[in-house]
Amino acid sequence: MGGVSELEVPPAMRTVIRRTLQVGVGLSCLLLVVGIGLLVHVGAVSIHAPAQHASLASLPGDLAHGNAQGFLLLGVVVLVFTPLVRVLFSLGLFARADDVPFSLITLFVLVVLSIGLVLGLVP
Amino acid sequence: MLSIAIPTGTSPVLDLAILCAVSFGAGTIGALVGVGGGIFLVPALVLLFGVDIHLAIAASLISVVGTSSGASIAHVADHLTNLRLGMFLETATVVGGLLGAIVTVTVLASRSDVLIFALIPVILVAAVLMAIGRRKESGHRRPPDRLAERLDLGGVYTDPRTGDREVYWVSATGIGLGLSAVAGFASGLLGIGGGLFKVPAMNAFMNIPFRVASATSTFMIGVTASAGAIVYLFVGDVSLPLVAPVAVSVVAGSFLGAHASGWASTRGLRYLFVAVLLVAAVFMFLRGAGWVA
Repeated sequence: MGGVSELEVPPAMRTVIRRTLQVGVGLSCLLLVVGIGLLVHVGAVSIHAPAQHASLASLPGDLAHGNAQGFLLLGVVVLVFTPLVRVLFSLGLFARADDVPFSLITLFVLVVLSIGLVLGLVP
Repeated sequence: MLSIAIPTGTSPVLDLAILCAVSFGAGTIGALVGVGGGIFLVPALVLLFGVDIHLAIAASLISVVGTSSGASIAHVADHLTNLRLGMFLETATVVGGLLGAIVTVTVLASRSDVLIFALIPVILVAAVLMAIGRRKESGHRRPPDRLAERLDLGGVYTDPRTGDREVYWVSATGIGLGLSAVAGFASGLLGIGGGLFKVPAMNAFMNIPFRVASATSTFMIGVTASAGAIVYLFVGDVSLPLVAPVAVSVVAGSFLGAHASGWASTRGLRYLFVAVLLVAAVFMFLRGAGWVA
């Protein structure tokens, strides 16, 4: 099996990244399937449904009431934020290993990823 | 007016099933030929389902996060991915991805025609690269540039055919960062992964063996697509009933494609997919010109 071993990577890095991706993709797909199932169940399936702004404020209520919208939104949020969580864990591992250059590199990536969220939260 | 759209509207559940099937196919083909699902998915959603290209881009980009993350699970475990190099180049792709998405939801918010025409050359490049086939492993060894040396970006690669272990050093980090930024911008703008640009950048310029470049590109695509997807989700508009089945189906298809890539990488099948892309490019042009519904 071909492979690469880098010269310096925190020992737990690969395991943490794999677990993060596995949980993120798995959980998001589960939520999305539940949401799609709810849409089918209530007869609200429409691939041409109008687009809308995603609102996290309504998410708790939608989930509590078993609304398909809530599960779909949460599933998409989990999926889209999985790489961000991966970067966050990587930052922690690089910082713990006192790897200053890569701590700064991953911090920069994290900040840029957060900009889109901040832009969306600004009224 | 000529239309190749699939008739929808009579049965919502049937429409959903067809959408899932097409998305599954796009994910499978993308994983089979290694150019990602977005390059097939965006034209498919626009041409076959009449989806507005902005919504198609958003759905594709969100799906690409899933396919990249799923594929990276195996690549990271197999030690193919050069994590340090990938994270280093992410500094450029993530900025490009953010800017590309912002342009699409603001400047080009009402310019679907521009997006359609912008996608055509990318489709054609993908077709050409697919027709050429996979690059050879990097056979020459250039010394690392100063930045690559400082950041320890190099690695050790074991050729699966010969079993030889060889150290590779990374060079041309400036070019790599530049092309990664371009890849990121294209990703955020058009809903594709951007591997079309990243893999050649790493393989041809940065001295990275092809399999390492491909795995590292896949790893980076998740973050790149995420930067754009967050913008579409919270700044732009998304249709969740469209995104959800597309994302799940594309991810499922990519898993199948990844496992079937061994037997499916025949030249005939590759040329078939090239033909599909060329047809898609033609119809996207006709759609952009208003000659096709």
